[in-house]
Amino acid sequence: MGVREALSGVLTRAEDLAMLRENPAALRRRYGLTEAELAMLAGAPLTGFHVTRQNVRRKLARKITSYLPATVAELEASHPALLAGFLAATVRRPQPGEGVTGSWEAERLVAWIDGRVSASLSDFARYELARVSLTTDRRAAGAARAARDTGPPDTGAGGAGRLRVSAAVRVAVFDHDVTVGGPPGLLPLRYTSVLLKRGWGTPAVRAFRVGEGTVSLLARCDGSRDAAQVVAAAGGDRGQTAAMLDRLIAARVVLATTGEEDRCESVRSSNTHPSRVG
Amino acid sequence: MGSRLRELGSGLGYRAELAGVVGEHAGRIDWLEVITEHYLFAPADLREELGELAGRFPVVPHGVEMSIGSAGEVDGVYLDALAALVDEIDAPWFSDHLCFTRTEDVLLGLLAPLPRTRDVARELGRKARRVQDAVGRPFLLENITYYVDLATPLTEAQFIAEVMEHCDCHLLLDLANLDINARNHGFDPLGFLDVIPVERVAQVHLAGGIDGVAGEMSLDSHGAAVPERVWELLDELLSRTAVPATLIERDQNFPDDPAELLADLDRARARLRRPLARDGVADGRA
Repeated sequence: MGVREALSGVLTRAEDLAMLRENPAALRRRYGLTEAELAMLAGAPLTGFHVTRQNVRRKLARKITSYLPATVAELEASHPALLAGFLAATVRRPQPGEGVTGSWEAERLVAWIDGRVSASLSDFARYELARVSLTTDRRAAGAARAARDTGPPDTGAGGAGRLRVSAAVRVAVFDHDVTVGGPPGLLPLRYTSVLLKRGWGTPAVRAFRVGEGTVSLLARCDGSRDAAQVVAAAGGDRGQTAAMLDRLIAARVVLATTGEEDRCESVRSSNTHPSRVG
Repeated sequence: MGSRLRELGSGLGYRAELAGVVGEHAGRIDWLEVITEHYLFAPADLREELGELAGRFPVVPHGVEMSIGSAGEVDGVYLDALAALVDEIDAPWFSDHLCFTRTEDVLLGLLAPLPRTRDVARELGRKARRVQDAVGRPFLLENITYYVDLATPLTEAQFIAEVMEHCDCHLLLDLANLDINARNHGFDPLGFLDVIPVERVAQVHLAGGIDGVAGEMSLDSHGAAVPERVWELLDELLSRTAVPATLIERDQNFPDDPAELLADLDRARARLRRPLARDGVADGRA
């Protein structure tokens, strides 16, 4: 450890800043500084530390706003102290590799407000995070491109190939209807299943409210069954189920694993079961 | 020292909010700079958009998260992705900052000042060479705005000069940062230019910030037109050396009327084209 670590501490932890002001020897011990290194920090005017500490929070605010603009706007309007508390309490952690551009901070905020704000706003925050996560998912974008570049899929519930949900699709369920618009803190309490689909270009993600039957059907499209087996496993009216499956295949929500997506994806999709986010 | 770089002229920092300006006034924008991390691990449709921009303008990736000043080597995954990005858009060069943005445990998310010692400068020079070799294009290092003025053995200018001694990279001189640092920390910006190797400056950043009042520090906001002080620094720099490229940075307070940005772009271009002389010796630019 050295000056960089100590400076980072002073810029992110009130305790370290207080130590620099009141007990520099303790700061020296904490960070294993030499006398010369401590002198670099102790000799810097305090104003600069205060300005930079504010900038650290400002950068965090900008990052979470870029991912969750509507949630942050609602927090600024209705829960400014809570948002300020999050910015003050959160020390960002380095994320290796691709994590440098990841959504760790937004995920932390969504977790932070859970139980501290209305369940409606909490649901909406998760919805907004799900949308942005799909937008930035490279595999989802690859699936969207594959859908754009290939012709219409073969439909017919008797088609060959095991079925699975496209990597361009996520299904999530909420206790509130996050699709209706309006103030995120005042969404109607209504169990809602949402299918998010990544498209190519703009808009990157479209949201569709779907019924329990569709969710159940999609959960069975996990790559282990062909169409006939999916229909059989779903139960109910086979004709209606087959027709629904046809519509999902036509919309490229469901793909046959021998189809085009398999050529550009080597990792099994993890989106075959709806995530409960309500 | 690295060879002289291609003359790009007067460019604009590309932001989504400025896409309309870029589309409608392409003839008044010579080149674009994009934030590296906006595209580095981006999905393919965003990369395709970048490719379209690169088909119309020279595009330079400007990074904010390399953290070359952190202990240890630059993240290999980041570096590989950067090399691929630079190659994909055939960038004439790429740039990042002389700073650190993270330690092993803490991500600051901002450009933090380094302990300005000869050892750190030597290490930075070595790492900059390695980054440049790995990416395969000229690497420009930029001076940051800093508010914590560490009581270090070297001044900022001495530190930059020392780094440049140990690598063959070029400098991206942010004159707005120089202006703000000089006012916040009480040094002479012209003295700064006396110390750094100005002949290594391949690009200049120009921006407006927030002037401190009543003893407050001035802030680097990229939220206003380029102030006269910064234009004067550009004139001073160009009286000392030729510079291949200038860039107007704007990150907030995007003007409804693009005339302000376009005027700054035109002004920078006119400066680059104007033959200036110092001590009776022409700088050689047409």
